[in-house]
Amino acid sequence: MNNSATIVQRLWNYCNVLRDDGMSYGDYVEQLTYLLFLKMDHENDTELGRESHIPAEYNWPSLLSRDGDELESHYRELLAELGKGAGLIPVIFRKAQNKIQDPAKLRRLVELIDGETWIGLNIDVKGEIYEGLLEKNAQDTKSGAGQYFTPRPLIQAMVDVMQPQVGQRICDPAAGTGGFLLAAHDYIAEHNNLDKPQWRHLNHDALHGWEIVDNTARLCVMNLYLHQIGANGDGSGHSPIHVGDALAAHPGENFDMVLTNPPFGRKSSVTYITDEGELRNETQDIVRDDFWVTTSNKQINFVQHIKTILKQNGTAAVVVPDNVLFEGNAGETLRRKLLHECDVHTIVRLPTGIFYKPGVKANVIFFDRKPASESPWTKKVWIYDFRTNIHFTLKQNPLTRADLDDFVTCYNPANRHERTATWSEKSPDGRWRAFGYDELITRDKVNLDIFWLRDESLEDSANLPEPEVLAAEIVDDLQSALEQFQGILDELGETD
Amino acid sequence: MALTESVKDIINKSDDPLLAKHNSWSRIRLGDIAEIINGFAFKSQAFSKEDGIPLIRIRDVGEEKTESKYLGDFDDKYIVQNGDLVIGMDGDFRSARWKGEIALLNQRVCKLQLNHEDIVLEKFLDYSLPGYLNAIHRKTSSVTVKHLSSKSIMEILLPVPPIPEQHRIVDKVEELFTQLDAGMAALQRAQANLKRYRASVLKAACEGRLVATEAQLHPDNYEPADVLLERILAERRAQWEEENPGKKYKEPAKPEVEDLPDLPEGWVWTTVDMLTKSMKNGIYKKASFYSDSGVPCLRMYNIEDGEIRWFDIKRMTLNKEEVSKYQLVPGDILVNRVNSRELVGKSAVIPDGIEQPLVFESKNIRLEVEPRITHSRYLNFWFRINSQSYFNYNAQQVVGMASINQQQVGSMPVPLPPLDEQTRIIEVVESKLSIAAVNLALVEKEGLRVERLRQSILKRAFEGRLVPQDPADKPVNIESLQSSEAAP
Repeated sequence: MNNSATIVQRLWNYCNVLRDDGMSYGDYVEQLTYLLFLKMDHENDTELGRESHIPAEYNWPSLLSRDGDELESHYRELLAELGKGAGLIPVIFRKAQNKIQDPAKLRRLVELIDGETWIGLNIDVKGEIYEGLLEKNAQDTKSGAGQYFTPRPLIQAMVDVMQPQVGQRICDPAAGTGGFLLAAHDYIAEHNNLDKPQWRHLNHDALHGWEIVDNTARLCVMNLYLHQIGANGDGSGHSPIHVGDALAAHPGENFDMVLTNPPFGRKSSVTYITDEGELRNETQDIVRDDFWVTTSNKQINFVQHIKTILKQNGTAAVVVPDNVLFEGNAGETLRRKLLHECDVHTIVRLPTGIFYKPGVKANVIFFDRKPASESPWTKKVWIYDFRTNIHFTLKQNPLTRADLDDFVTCYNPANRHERTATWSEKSPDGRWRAFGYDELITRDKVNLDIFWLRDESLEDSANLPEPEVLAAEIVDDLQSALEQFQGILDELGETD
Repeated sequence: MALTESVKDIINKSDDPLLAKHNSWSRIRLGDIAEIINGFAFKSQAFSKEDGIPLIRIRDVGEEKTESKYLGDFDDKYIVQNGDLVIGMDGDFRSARWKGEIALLNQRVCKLQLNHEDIVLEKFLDYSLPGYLNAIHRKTSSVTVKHLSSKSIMEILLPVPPIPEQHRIVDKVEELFTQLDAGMAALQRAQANLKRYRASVLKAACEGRLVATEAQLHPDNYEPADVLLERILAERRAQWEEENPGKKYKEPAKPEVEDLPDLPEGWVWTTVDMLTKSMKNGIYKKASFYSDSGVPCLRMYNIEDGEIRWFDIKRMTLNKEEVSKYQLVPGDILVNRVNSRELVGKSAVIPDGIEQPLVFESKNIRLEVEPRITHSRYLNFWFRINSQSYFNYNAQQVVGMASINQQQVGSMPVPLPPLDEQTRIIEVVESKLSIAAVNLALVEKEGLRVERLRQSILKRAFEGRLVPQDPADKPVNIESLQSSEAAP
């Protein structure tokens, strides 16, 4: 068996060859997905004696036996055909297209993949290779692919405090490339000695995701598949990922846990042409009976949706931008309802410089769904300020899991009702502090964007970061200002 | 009162957009739906800083706490609760909801109590009232301070959209204003960070972290700063001894290297004394010597943010000898020697292309820099990053002003790179700082624009164009009240 490191290297090298042809990381990962899937399906047959679920005319040998233009046209046909129908395979191949222009290079890639036995490879390795490619893809910030990729250390910390259990049904309604679902899967696998039925449940029934973008859904399914999730061992399993807009309607089932990072970015909007032939952009409201408020704000709608898909006493951890915590009107209604009907117990203010989208100011909110009640369920909200005076960058000083250790300790997953604040009048620099419901509900517009630490930016302090760090902060602040004013512009633009 | 026009006329004749209304709305006289409680002239002998009930005076309108408290008796009608609307009647006629704990209403502040929320919502009043108060303010003449009468407030004719529309307007304005406030806060942070960026670049420059060192670029082929320094100091001494036979040469101050941090390779610790040929305090002249013609003279106000500011330049009448003694040439550095403690020590380089002759005033010291060892602009970078803390510690304090002398300036340690490295540092710093300056100006300009955006949003709101009208909305019932204007 080949050294996994050399495989990774070979795949990377070949990626660079194709990039010289103008291919992006994203396109490369996509093509790799198709070819790897076909090869692994074939190995299922030849190595493990399980039935292949891909029609013989479009299977791996059918590619391997061809060359030149014939290979390229067969590949295109294969991609189109496999995208039809229902099940796991069509999700992988839905609207698939060949992006490798040069048939000789396609042949080379086919041979490269053929040269390895993938099914025998350690699951972790396969997963790592793929995740590595996804991360590289996300780093290519101009492509915008980063918005589908939540930083892994953050996901890890969220899972470590949420502690998913065996037998639970877990959902990510904005699955992206599957980071949360994977992390939940691995957590359950690592912390328990699973028997066969429990493995079956974990790999086939436990995890559910929705993803609206075909291409991203494809990568997500593949990512899970490489970790044995969603495959019946024979590639025919149902897809754990639904391709579509989670917000459109209630899915008809409820979940024990939701872990998610809804996409950042402007409100849902539609571009259309008026009778006069002008191009207009109109923000679209989502109207649902089970929602608290009607709004076009995507993130507010996701929070409402998440509450509706949780079981009673189900738990959720959601990454949301600052606007959800401070915006007036619909935002205020959401916060009032959420604090009343759910137990919102923890908020983490996240630092800038950790997401692949520049200027993002985000938080994680943790809440439990509760039964109907006259009195509010939230008694205390604990806030961890991981933003003030904290700087990360994507390359020089990236976020690591260790940076979140203090938060995880403060959260006290073993018993979140026994927490100790690190802030007090005597230690005003403490980052962990609780606020009572009464105090919060009387705040102007129930603004939950709360901070108490002295911001060094706004003071003449002796502690001066490096120029690059400050320049990055300036970019973040200007981007952040830009987001807000763009939002205002969008609102004003739609009225006459 | 000093209001020459009636409030009604002010509103009708005005094209101020904040006084606008949609043509389907009526107006209501504020006095018909609200009452005013004027404050009381509480006796100042009973004022206290610590004890008693908070007392709202004009300066406290818009705050969360009062400056003074009151210890004596009072009538309950002067009580102000959290959330009550108070208006300052002198000065800028500010109105705000009281954000503090229970307080008393002092004279010249009044409380506006809305009695008809079926006609005007409290929040709608909050957004519309300031526009009218400002309009009255503009039309109020004054000798010293402008005065607002409660009668004028009562005469204000507020626009009244249907109640559901008022709700829609308020909701939309709140949504936009929360975003606007967040955007403004982000701009302010960017502004603060731009200034820190400037400081960080200068610090990196003078610690050898900004550009590659000569030692890195030309390892075997450069003149280290200590070698250069020794050479030039020796030349200087020799020249002085030649010009002053028999006299003892005064060595320039030496830095105390043991206490100073390590420097990059090729750098050396020096003092300002070693780097300058001479220092001189500026000329002092009585006010009678200042005139419109005469020689321009740089005073301490002309040094700001490390540069010379060419405004408010005073001119002095001087004779030829004085001019030549106190003349500035490009490359000289001015250091301000008397000022508040925070500002003393600020400095700037005299740039090329100045109007000559140019002199300097006594509160500044002129440094004649030794160009064979250091470039003025590099030395000034060091001053910009180091002087404030250095002199803050050393300066003499006399009656609120701090001062430094030539000996203190001369003994300031300076980290010195090789001459060529100084040139490269200067290029990079000036490039980065010019970008920062452009962005700083931009952010400041945008900040002003944001405030205009806020007004513009309100304008659209009152013109009825922010949210749509709904024909199903019931118009507000004002017939039962007098003195209102119905919609045409």
